[in-house]
Amino acid sequence: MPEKNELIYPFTAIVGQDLMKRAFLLNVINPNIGSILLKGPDGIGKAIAARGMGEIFPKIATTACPFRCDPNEPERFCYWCMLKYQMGTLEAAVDFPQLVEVKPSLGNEELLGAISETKTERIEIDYRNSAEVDQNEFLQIDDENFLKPGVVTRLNRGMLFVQDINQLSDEVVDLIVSILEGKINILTGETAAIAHPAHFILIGTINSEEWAANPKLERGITIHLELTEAQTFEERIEIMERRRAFETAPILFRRQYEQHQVALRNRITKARELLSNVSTPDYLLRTLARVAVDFDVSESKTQKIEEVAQTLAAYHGRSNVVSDDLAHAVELIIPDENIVTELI
Amino acid sequence: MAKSTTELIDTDAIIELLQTLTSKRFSKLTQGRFKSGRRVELITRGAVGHYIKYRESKDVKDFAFAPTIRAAAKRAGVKRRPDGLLDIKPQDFREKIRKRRASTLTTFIFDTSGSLNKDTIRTGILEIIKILLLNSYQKRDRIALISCQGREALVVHPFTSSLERAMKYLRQVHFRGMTPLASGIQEGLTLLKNKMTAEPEAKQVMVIVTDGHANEPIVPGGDLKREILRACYMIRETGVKSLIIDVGEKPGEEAKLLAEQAGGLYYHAMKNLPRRRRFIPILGEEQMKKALVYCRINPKIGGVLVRGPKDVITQENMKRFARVLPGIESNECHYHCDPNKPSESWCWECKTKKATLKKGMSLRKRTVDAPVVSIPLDVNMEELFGASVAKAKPGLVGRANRGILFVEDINLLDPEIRNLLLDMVGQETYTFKSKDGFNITTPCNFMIVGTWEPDEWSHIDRVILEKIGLQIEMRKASAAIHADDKQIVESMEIVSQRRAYESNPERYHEKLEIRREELLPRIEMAQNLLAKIRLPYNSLDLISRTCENFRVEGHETEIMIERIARTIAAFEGRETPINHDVIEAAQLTLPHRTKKAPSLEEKTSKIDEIKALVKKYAREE
Repeated sequence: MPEKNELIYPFTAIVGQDLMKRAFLLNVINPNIGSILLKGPDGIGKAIAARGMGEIFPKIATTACPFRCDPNEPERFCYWCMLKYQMGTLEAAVDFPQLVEVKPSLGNEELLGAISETKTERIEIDYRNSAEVDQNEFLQIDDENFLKPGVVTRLNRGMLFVQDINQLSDEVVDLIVSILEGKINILTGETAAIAHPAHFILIGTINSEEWAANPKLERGITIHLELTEAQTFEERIEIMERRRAFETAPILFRRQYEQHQVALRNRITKARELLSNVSTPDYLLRTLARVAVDFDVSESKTQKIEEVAQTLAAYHGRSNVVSDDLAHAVELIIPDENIVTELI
Repeated sequence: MAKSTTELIDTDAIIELLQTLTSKRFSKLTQGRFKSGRRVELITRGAVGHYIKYRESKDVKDFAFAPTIRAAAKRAGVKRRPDGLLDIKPQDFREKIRKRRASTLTTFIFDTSGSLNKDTIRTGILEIIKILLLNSYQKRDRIALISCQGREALVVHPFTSSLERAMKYLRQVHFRGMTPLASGIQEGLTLLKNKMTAEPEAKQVMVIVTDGHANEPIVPGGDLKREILRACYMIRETGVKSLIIDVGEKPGEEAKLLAEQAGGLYYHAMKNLPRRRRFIPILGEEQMKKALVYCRINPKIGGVLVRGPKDVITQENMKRFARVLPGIESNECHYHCDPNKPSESWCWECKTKKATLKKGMSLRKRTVDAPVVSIPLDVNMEELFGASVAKAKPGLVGRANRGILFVEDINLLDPEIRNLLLDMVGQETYTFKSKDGFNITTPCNFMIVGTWEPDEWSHIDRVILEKIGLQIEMRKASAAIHADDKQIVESMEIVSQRRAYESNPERYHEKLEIRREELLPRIEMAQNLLAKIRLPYNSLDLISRTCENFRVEGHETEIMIERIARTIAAFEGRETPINHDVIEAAQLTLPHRTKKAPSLEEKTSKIDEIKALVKKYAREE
């Protein structure tokens, strides 16, 4: 696949689109929330926000393995970490998760990776040419089998971004949805099988003029957002101004927003730490339950609402969920205005 | 004005030749008898046709009664039967001989390869084929049309007497690719052979319109010449009459040999073709040249989208416009790397060369015209990136670096390739990751010039509009002279230019050259100025309100208008853009970006709206 060599527009410099930005941040703070589907016309910053989000990821503690396994969750270690864990030679490292952007023409093997019996693919190279061998190294499973990395292998605790997600083939959608649910990728070869954690956030965009996404995918994704253009002229003008500044001097522009970016990253890190201590008061739980019954909200969605509300509270630095958090959470998960007014 | 194509090609001669092929009595042509209806007459024994004479026959199917009775009477003489009856014996039998006109099966094999992609030749060929088709239609021939292009010949349609499909194909045909002539002849013979069993009486004719330069064998890597000669031999063997019309600029040996082998007639059609390139006045030319300059100043604009009829927005014309761009100083490599830029952005050729240089030495430079590379619709990744790794061959994208990437019918391009090209817009280098695990980095600092022809069916994708900022409409001058005042002025300009060209073509081009030289410092100045320019608040407000009024989706269009307005101001040398710049930018950007494509009246009324807004602002100031 082709790749761009371009500077990324800073996430904090995006004008407006608060709902979208909030959805992104909540997902980064709490990856358990689920994934995001963005619907809306082109040119309103869906892709820019997603790519910018990739930069915002705070550092995470890992076990120095290519899958960035979480040292606090030994039950979900990959094959290699498990070996090391049993031998007691587990290392600790710090890493940034990745945002991987793929085209909708993605194929199965490209997505999952594969188990192959050779260490490298045989390639004839003329070194006078500009061609370079890809740096992706094959991982050794045992004497005979090697893991050929795919998109998912790079993706644990990161983010998968697909533009025009409705154009993905049904087969790939099935695979992605099953990995999203299981948070694990299982590969089988002829003589070996291997599993590694693959817990990632899926972000898809759909142009509003086009057909809908695969229903399976729609169900697998928690947050559905319908986006529109900026409403006020002030915002529109600000967009043009910032875009011009970024275009004429991208490095300078990024330096201007460096402070904001760092602040946001710190805030996310803090919110992540706080998240496990956030609790929802009983009266709010009761309100939520009543709303769920009244508006026929499913069990899983109700749980998600609570989770989102807690994440929001953590984001605002509170250890208690307040009714505002709950209202915003409902707004994100069930985009129905009636319910929101009811709650407030 | 230029000669019309009907004068360029002696169509009567061609029709006469066609008649010669099928009938020996073409001298009677002018006498009225063969002026209409089928061209071939056959004398037959069947029950069809009109009765012309009789003959003796033992085994009679179609009795000629009167002659038979006469013969019997004559034989009997005075020895009549007493009962008065006539005795008819087998030797009296007479059979009718009838004459009827037979149908003609004509196969037209015509060359639509890239070697014929020149304005005059193309119009000439289309003219020839149209005349031939029309003539064949009048003569009730049945026509099959085969087009030679690309890897193998295409049967446009098998035998039919309907003209419409053929004409429809001719209207939209593109001239490009290789010439699989042998394959074309083979296809033609197969078609004729299939018909032969059904209609053994029909006359079979094959007309080949080509310049003789075949370059694509049937079998990949096969012997080209042998294949063609064999095909010609087959034509002669099967008794198919052939006419080879040579459409090369000069009579070609290859086409003559073809005719000789096939035992057919040879005719060189392009006798009257002028050697000098014709001057075609086109509306929108000035705008186009300006647009190209804007793209050169600010690569983020992405390129120009040209809409208009196909005969106006040809590759040849685009190359002509591209000459307005000043030459570029470049290293001696395939990718035209910029010697003034840091070597990180260079291609691998220059990088390796630089590595072998001694300290203090620099690479050799040269000044070249901005390259114009055209992309065929069926392009693949290898051709784009030169991805055949074993060979150090630059791809089309690399060749177009710092120049123009010309895409004819950009709306029909394969979406995957299209998105790839659009992704590259505004970037210095692009890394292509092949599926084998290679990264190929190519410099890709080009502007896209895409063309499309708007009609009810053609649709321009939002993705294209998002990345390519400028839009220009082009038309022939003659069609627009009465449209409105501004266009008349433009047409006058064209007429005066035309006069200048006719009086002294060399000098005309010299003048163009001088303008190019002037342009170079202006572009450089504008590039330096661009970073300093900021639009005033009023102009930004104007842009956003305009886009709101037009119901444009997303913010990309606003950003694009702002970008172009800045570029225009930079080109004009203004540090503070004026509203006029914004209007010009909006006019170049907005069409086809609104939710519903506006008609011409709507467009003009909307431009009036913008003007009204501008006036309002002027008053406020």
